Amino acid sequence: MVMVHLGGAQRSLHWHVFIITWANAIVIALMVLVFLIALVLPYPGTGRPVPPDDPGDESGAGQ
Amino acid sequence: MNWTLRTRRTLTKRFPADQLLPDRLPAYVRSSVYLLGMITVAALALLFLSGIILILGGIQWWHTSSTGHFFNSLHFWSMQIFFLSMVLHLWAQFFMGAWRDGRAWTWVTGVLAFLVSIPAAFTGYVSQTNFDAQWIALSAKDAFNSAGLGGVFNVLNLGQMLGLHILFFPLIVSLLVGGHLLQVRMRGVVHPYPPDEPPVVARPRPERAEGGQ
Repeated sequence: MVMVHLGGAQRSLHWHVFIITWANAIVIALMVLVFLIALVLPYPGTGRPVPPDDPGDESGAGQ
Repeated sequence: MNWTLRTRRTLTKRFPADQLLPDRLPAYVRSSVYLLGMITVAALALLFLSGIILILGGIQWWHTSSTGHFFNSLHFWSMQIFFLSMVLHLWAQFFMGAWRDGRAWTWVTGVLAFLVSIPAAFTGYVSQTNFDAQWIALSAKDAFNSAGLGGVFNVLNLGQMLGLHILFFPLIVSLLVGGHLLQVRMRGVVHPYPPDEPPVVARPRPERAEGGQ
């Protein structure tokens, strides 16, 4: 038993002059979704207190 | 001054350690969208690792053994994640205007890495040694022949495709990604667009003089 049969003929989305297979359309839609989620999700560690400078660091690091 | 001292001084000046290995990020790095580049690099590392294992095992191994199937799949899905995250990284950097403030080479090396990754992936597809690879190669040969490239880039030549896939293209991609990362570390993450910058609007066309042509 397989979730998706990949052996059959591919189906396409056809709108005026635009033709795209459903597989490609779904992948592009998922990419847009992942992009939007990435925009909204915070960067890991955001809001964590900033640690003091490393005393052994002569350059006064940090940007 | 000898050349080693000269080189050391130049490298220390151009690549200070606190920029190459920073321990803090600018305050505006608050979104996960900034992780997409690193996800791409992680996928590339996984591609190299799984690719080395695949080529050590050999064609028979990756087609017949379950461990070979696993690393074959790992290589394939790493490639999917590599391209997906690279394209999303490209979108993010495009909307941020990541070429600004002296970051032209950061942008150029990134775009070149993307462009070279396409033939790298293509040579991988035609090196699978299965029906999928045959179908792709037979379909692609006409395109390359009609472009006059068939003589030097023969997609039906497995040795050439595999050689390009495991040596030539990975080398170029590595150099470009390495240069890209170095540029990112040297220049840092681009500042967001200032919020008070007036929007760019088209200038009104000057009035034509009456009767003038």
